[in-house]
Formats: sequence, structure tokens, C-alpha cells
Amino acid sequence: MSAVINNLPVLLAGFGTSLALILVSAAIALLLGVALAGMRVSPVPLLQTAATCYVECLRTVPTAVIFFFALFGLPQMGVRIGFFPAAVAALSVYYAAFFCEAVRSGINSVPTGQAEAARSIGLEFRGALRFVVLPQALRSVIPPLLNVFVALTKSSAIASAFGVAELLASTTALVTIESDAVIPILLACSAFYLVITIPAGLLAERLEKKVAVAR
Amino acid sequence: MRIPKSLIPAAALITAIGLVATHGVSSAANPGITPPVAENPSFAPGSTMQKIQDRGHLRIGTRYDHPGLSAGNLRGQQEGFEIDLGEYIAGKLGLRADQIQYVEASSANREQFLAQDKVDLVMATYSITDKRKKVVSFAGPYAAISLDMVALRGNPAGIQDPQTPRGTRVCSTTGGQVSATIREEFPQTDLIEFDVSSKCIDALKNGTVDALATHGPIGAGYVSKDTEELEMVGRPFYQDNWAIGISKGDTGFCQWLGRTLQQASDDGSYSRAWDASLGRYSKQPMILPEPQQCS
Amino acid sequence: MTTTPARPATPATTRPAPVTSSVLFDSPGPRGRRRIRNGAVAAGTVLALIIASALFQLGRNGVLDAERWAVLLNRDLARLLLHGLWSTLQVALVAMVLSVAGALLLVAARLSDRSPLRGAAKIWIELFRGLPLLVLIFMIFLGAPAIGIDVPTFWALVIGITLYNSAVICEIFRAGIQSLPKGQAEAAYAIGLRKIETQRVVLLPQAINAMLPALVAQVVIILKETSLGFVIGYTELLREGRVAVEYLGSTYAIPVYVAVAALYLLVNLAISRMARRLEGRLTH
Repeated sequence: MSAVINNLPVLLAGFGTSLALILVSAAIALLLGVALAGMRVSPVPLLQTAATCYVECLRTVPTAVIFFFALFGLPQMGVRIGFFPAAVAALSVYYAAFFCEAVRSGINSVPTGQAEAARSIGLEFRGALRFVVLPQALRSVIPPLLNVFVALTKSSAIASAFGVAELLASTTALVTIESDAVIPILLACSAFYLVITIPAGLLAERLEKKVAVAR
Repeated sequence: MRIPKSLIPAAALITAIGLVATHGVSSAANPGITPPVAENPSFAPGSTMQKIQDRGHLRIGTRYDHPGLSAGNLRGQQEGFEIDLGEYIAGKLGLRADQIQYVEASSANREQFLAQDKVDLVMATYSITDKRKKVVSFAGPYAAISLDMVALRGNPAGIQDPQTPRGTRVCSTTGGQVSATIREEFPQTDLIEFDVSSKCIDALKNGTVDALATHGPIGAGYVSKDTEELEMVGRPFYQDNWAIGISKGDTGFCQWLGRTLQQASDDGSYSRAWDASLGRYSKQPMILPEPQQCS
Repeated sequence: MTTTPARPATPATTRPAPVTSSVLFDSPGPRGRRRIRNGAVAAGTVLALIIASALFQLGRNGVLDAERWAVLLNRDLARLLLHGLWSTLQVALVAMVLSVAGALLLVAARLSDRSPLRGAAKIWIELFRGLPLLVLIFMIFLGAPAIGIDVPTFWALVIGITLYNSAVICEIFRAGIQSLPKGQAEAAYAIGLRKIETQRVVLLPQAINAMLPALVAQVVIILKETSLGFVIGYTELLREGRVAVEYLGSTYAIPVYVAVAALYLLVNLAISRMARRLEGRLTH
């Protein structure tokens, strides 16, 4: 236990880096994801196809593969960014596909009748989306978005293998030094992750039930 | 998107790779030297050599990411100068190359592996230092080297030594001799550390650091894989010796290893191993250094 | 790069018709068609520009040279990748079987009549769903030796994946069982079956049937998770790719990783199509 307390600054620094990585990536991924979802429901076939390909391709490939591309592909394209931006790029590009699907499932959960009614009172595509479908979709979209956020939080640990000094990286570094306090240090590291993932997961569950009741 | 077709792409790709695996071009693997295997050598009862011989395999702690010294090749084997010497030692113990078990060692865990008896010996660019002598014994040394740096091609940062120009971000491995030396000799250096050297190479390429400080042969190995992007700074700044790490106080094993290295040097295996590996890039012959006292 | 045909894929949903784009707009008239065409041209131009500039950058750095891609015709590299794929599949299969077994135990605890057992199962599931898989793998890989047990990398990976996925699959089962009509359980009790028999004979078989697509989809997730083995040095597909790149030099990084990504992509696409096909079969 004393090993954990003595090394708390190291773990906290790692946790700070993790938080920065998670929040920046989640924000960028969400923006990209909403754009992709817009492309997938748009009337332009080309955009639909491009977005569908993007989502299908990325969802079937492991996150770590995307990290390798960010780490080796970017320098080969003449882009020299550090480890942290490369990790942000990898997580954002990867989770954009998942955020896109979460947004789409939110839009899909709005009954067809709603859109039909909106069209029948003469609203255009944009109006129907803006005044009828999206406000309802927003409520049901939050739980799946939270679940994707939890998944992103967990994936951020992969950045430890790609030169980012985040929580898991500082943990493994500590474990090599403090070889007789391996278990407490690993438990402390777990606690930090659970502080983010469990509340977010429970919140998603609660909201899901609420939305179900509201329908 | 009709269903039966969905399996075709995956099956086609795996079949294509399978065809390449059976009919493709062969890569120029570099098997190094094939040292002779002694027929039933005899050792003093109770000695470490005897124990290893009875066990039927030798456990070597080594690096997996030092091209030319010790790294995996496309055939799933380890190859390089250190591996060749390891095979020579195994041969003298009456063991074939396939009776060697390699364990990946990093700068930070070499002492632990020896203390926990996870390996019989460590050949992993292990420099002799007084601090380490307190916990492990060194046999050899088997190579005298100097420290140098790897920079991006053309040395855009104009690096001369770790702290010149000021603010140069230098990368090296956690717990390694290079970091310790730099902290002592070049206190102004902006030092960034990773667990293995290959991450430093990644960092160098993506702009996180400006140079990798390392032993000359390690740097030469990386540059040989990547002449388009990397080059050696070529200003050696510290002399060092690599030796075989063994468990503390095993003098019998230490002396036997020293004699074995001397034999490798005498029968030409030592220089053949060097010429077949890093010697191809470094242009300098490697000569077995004077042995040190076993303690 | 991709295996999707040029026409847009319609999502295979089986729920009552959701809002699809076709409801949101009429079939376009002449002016609408022109607008769509203009939009398509504009969007196509932007996409083409992005792709072209990426290709230009790659080309300028020699990544598109045929000589670099010829490395994929190397016999030893192909063997390495196949060996890696085989190792990956081994981990995935063992982990999948163990995960389902673990999930059955958990779901029994989760739906039991004893509230402490229920609470314990709930906490267990929350814990293992909330931890990064990589942390779980390190727990076993570094934590077990600390208490004197040496775990080979294969098992560290399998156990880590199993701990996580049994919790996830348990929730899939539970949702499946709870989605069954209440009458099923009531009828089973009415003919005198005990709780455990009701679960085993009546509810689970039906739930598994309903959940099969979700289970198959979970195989894709497990296959992706095996790639984390490269961190602890288990030689699965991704690690073999990395070994090859370190041996060949990073000049060949992109061709090798593209081959690795293509393997994951096509194998997983095939599996997820199978899942969809099952879904189509089972829901009438």
C-alpha cells in the first residue's frame, strides 16, 4: 500500500495524460461521427457509400492496427507529429465509426410515423430532421454515445504501447521498479479507470430505462 | 451484398497468401555462423555447465529489437552477432541451436531475470558497471564499443553530442547504461526514456525526439535497416564493454564462458560471426577485448 | 481496399421500419435531382481531393513504389502472417468457448433467488466490463508471477479476454432471457419444473436462439481483442507484422500493415455477414 501512496504523483500524472487523451479524442471522434452519420442518411448515394465503407472497414479492424498506421504511416507521408497527437488521431479516426453508428441508431429509433407526419405537414428534409426527428433522436442517442465513450476510455490504454506516458504506461513502468508491490499498483491503476467507466456505464443504463419509459 | 459471396474475399486473400507461402520468393535470411556441437562434453559434477547439459536446453535472455545483434527474422528465428555467440556457447555445452530458449530481456529487467533464475545467461548489450557487479557476475567481455547517436538523415538538428546544440531531445532506454552515462557526463541533456530502443527509433521518426543515444553497433543496426531516413552522427563519446551476465558469484561458469569466448576468437568463429552480421555495415573489425577478472 | 460494392448498403435492421432516409425526402423532382447531382459532384470532389493528396504525399515519399509492395510476394513473410493468423484464431476460439461457459455461470448467479449472489455477480460484471482489456491482461501477465504463478503469454491473453467477455456475454444472455414472454417461465413452473430446470430446459435454449447473432458478432470483437497480445509478446497476427517490419525496415511498414489490416478486415467481415444471415433466418 505504501508503494501506491509513494508513487501516487506518478499515477496521477499518468491519469492526467489519460484524461486529456480521452477527452480530446472523444470530442474529435464525436464531430467526425456526426458528420459520417449525416452522410449515411443523406440523399446523395456517393456520400452514403463512402461513409458506409468507412464505418464497415474501421469497425472490423483492431484498434491497435490503426495505432500502427498512425505511428508509421504518418511519418511516411511526411507528417511528423509526436506520440500523443498520433494516439489522438488513431482513437478519433477509429471511434468516429462507432459514434456514427450510435448516432444512426438514435435516428433509427424514432418511429417512422414521426417523420411521415413531419413530411405530411409540409416540412422539408432539413426541417423534418431539425424539428421532429433530431430532438427525439437526441434523447435516445445519449446512452449509446455514452457506451462508445466508455469503450474509447478503455481503448485509450492501448496508447501505452505506442509511446504515450498515460496511466497504464506509468503503471507498467512502476511495476518494473517496485517489483514487490505489483498487485497494489495494478489495483490502483484499475481504480482510476473504473472511476470513469462505471459511472458512465450506469448513467447510460439509467437513461436507457428512462427513454424506454418515455416512449 | 448477397450472402454466399461474403466468404469469398476472406477465403481468396488467405488462399493468395497461402500460394505466396508455398511459391513465393525466398527472403535472404542471414543465418550467421553454424558453430559445431560438441559430442557429450564432460563437466565437473554440480557445475552450472553440467546442470544446463542435463536439462537439455540453454536459456538466454536477449533483445528482440536490435537488428544485427539480436532480433527476430522472417523465419521466426533469432539472428545476429549475440545470437551466434550464444549458439557457439550452446555448442560447447553439447546443445544444438534449436535447444536454446530465448527470453526477451529489457534494460530494466536483466538483473531480475538472473536473480529469479529465469535465464542461465544474459546476452543483451549488457555493459559492465560497478553497480551491476554488486548483483550479477560478468563473463567476458565479448565486445568493446563506444557510445554514439542516431539522428534523422542529414542530421537536420546539427547534433554534435547529447547536449550540443542545447535543447536537443535525446532518447535512450530506461535503466540502461547509456542513460546513466549521459546523466553523468552531459548533465544538461534533455533526456527522454522508453523501455526499448525501437520505440526511440519510432520517436525519432515522428518528431518526438531529435536523436537516439546508444551503443555504436546498436545504432548501426537500426541505420542499416533504414538508410533512407536515418544516419549515425558518428562522434563516439564514451568507451564501454559488453559482457555476458550470469548469476552472482558463479565463478566456475564465468571462467568457463571466458575460455569459450577465447576459443571462439582463436578458431575464427568470433570474427566470422561479426562479419556475417553487423560487420557488414560497420566496416570495422571487432576484436575480442581482454578478459576481466571473474568475481 | 474495401469489399463493399458500389451501391449503398441498406442496414439490415429487423425492427419495425425505422426512419430511413427515404421517408425524409420525396423522390426528387428535376430540380431536386440537379441539386443532388451538384451535391454529389461537390462531395465527390472533396473526397477525391483528400484521397488524391494522401496518395500524392505517399507517392512523393516512395510508398507506392512497386518494389516496396513486392515484399508481399515474399514466401517467409506470407508464412509469418499465416502463422500469426492461426495463433490469433486459436486464442479467439479458446477465449470464446471459455467466455460462453463463464457467462452461463454468471447469468445463473445474476438471475438467482439469493440476493447476495445476485449483488456479487452484478459487482463482478461491472468491474470486468469497466476495465481496459489491456489492464486485465497485464494483471494476469505481471500480477500472477508476483504471487508465484507463471502464466504463459497465450493464457494471459485468453484469461484476460475471457474475464472481460464473459461479463459482456452474460448481459447478452440476460437480455435474451428477459426478452422472452413471461408465459414461458410461468408455463414451465406450472408443469412442476424447478427454477434451474426452467432455466436450462425452457428459457436458455430459446434465449440462445434469439441471441445467436449477437454471439457471433461477439466473435468479431474477440478476434479484434486478440491483437492486444502483441503488447505482452504473444506472436499473433499483429505482432508477426511488427516483427516483419522491424526485420525488413520501416520502409516496408505500410505494405505489411495493409496486408495485416486486410486479413483482419476480410475475416471479420465474413463473420459479421454470417451473423446477419443468422439474424435473417431466426427472426420471422
